[in-house]
Amino acid sequence: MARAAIDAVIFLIAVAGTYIAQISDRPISAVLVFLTGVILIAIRSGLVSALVAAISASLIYNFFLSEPAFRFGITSADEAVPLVAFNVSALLAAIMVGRLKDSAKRAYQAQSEAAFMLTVSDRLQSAVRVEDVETEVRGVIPRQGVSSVEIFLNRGKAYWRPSTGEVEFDTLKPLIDLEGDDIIQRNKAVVIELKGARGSLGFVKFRLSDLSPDRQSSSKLQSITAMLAVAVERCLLLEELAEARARARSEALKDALLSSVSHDLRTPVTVIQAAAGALRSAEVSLPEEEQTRLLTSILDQCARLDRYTAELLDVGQIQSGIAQDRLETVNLVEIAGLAIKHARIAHPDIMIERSMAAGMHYVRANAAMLEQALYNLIDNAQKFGGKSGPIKVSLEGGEGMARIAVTDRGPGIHDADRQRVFTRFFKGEGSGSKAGMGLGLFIAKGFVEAFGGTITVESPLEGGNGTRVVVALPLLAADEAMIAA
Amino acid sequence: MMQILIVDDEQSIIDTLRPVLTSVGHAVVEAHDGAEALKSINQTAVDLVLLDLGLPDTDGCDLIHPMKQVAGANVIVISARHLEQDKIRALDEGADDYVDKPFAIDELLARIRVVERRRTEMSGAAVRRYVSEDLIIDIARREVVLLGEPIHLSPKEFALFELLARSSGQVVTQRQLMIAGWSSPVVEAQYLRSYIALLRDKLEADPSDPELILTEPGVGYRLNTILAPEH
Repeated sequence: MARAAIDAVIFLIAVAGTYIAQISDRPISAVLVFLTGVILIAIRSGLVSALVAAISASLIYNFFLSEPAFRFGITSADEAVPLVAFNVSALLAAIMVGRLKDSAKRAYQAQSEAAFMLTVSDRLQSAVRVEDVETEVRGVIPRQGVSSVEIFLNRGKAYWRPSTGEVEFDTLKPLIDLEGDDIIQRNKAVVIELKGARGSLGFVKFRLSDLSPDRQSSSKLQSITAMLAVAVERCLLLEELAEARARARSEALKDALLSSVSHDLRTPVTVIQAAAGALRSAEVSLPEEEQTRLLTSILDQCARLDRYTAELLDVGQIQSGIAQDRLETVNLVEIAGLAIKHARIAHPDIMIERSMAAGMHYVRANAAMLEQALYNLIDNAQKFGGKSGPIKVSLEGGEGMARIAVTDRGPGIHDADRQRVFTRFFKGEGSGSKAGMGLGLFIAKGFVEAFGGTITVESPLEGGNGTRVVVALPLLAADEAMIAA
Repeated sequence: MMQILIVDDEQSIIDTLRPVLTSVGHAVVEAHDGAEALKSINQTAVDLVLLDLGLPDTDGCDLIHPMKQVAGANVIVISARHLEQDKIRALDEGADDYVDKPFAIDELLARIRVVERRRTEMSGAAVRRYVSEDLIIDIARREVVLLGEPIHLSPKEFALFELLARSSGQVVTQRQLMIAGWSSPVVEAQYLRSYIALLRDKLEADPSDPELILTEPGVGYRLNTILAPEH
């Protein structure tokens, strides 16, 4: 309205100016003033206003100013020329201004579009997970006549919505759902395929708040979709890369484990084969005592191989789970005694201090496995701390738990290693051939936990050295034990 | 008789090898890790090192250079790892040969004999030709005679065969052969295989079942005969 009022004011000023020029007997100035007014209006308000102004101007000129005054009539060519001039100038001015305005408007639109796209692309750049892409774009979209954006990605024969994690197996449903919305909510929606470098990634569903998308906004949606496709693809590639790295790491770990196991198994075989070969070889002649030594070492290494095989079997049992029906009621004191006896046979020079609480301590366990677990602890203590003093094996009960502690006076365990001592194939730094396969503590933990117990390691102890491994097992109440016994 | 250093963290292996090596006339020193091994080669004149690659404190490969270059010892790698890249690295590092764990004792003794022979043969004078009962490789005249029959070899075939002959009885890596034949360690492995096939066509009784030029899978080739150098 303001624009029309200003136009009217301009028109009136032009008319007044023309009138003043006319009565001052300056007809050319009068015409120029009038023309200026018409062109000003054309510039300001476009073609229609300009034509209205031009026609009004020509009428007024005709009626008021040209002879004969106060009536219409074309009496001479002099009269017609201003009439045509007004209209042609108005028309030309209006057309040129219109063009200028249009291109200015287009330039402005293009600029704001570019700015918008830049914002979208900036937002999408910051998404590193495919789940975040939708959230990022949602933050900028509503200004543009879109009420919601949903991204669906292909996953096999289904669609997956990363932002919610939903998987839709009915591939038509997102599309049907869309049509339903059309009817019920009177919302327009547009579905555009997400195309990546390696083919279709899925699709994007835009719900529009305007009823009908014009061509401009639909091309805008296409551009947004293209950027979404780039972002989604980038996120997917990042994920693939991360997975590939993780796989490579676990492959490397597996290789290391296999190489470690094969090394451990080959060492005894090497000794056996070399010793047996030497005993048989024609070119090697050994004195009798050496022959006996080689035979002994063959037997030792056979025992070692057997132990490794048993350990690998134990690991297999732990990994496949130990059935509850293999557990029975066992007397912890008796089992600890067996483990100690076993250790004395394996290490004839071992020194063990026993300290067993009086009374019966019944727990639910598998006797052979529990004995193996305790033996592994004593064996470990002997290997790594046996030279520094006696190994203490103590048993105490209380508060429903029985605790067996195996304590050595060895150098203790590094902070970094303490976390890992219970992991499969872990061997402490510098433990060398003493370490065996690195399964002892893993097996002990696996068995103890299968019996509902816990195993913990404390190291170094007060005084800066020594290691204590404590096995805690739930004690059976006296009556339970009686029934079981 | 040689002074042999066994480097292995497994005492049981040392305990088995020691009487065997002693019984065939060698003297044995032992080391259980890289540090001890380096100390031994500095203290005693060692002729041959039997080196386990999986040592607790060092990568065995890193010991090969000081043993070969500084102490002038020969090195036979004994490894339980069985990884081709480990063996290749050790051989390219300068190891003379390798034996996989577990090994037949006679095989190890044979490899040790090859090293011993090589050490006694070593002299400053250039080798004029390598000979065995069946085979003559004349380095100066670039001729090969098999069972009295002169065999024509192309220059490249001769270059490869000459290298195998110089290390007769010991493994030669693909890389070493590539350098000998093409002066470059990064030649297509297919070229090398083709030339080995050509050599077998000319030298083997049955090229499909080679007995002279043996393949060490993934590592290289070994000339399965002992040639004596003539100066």
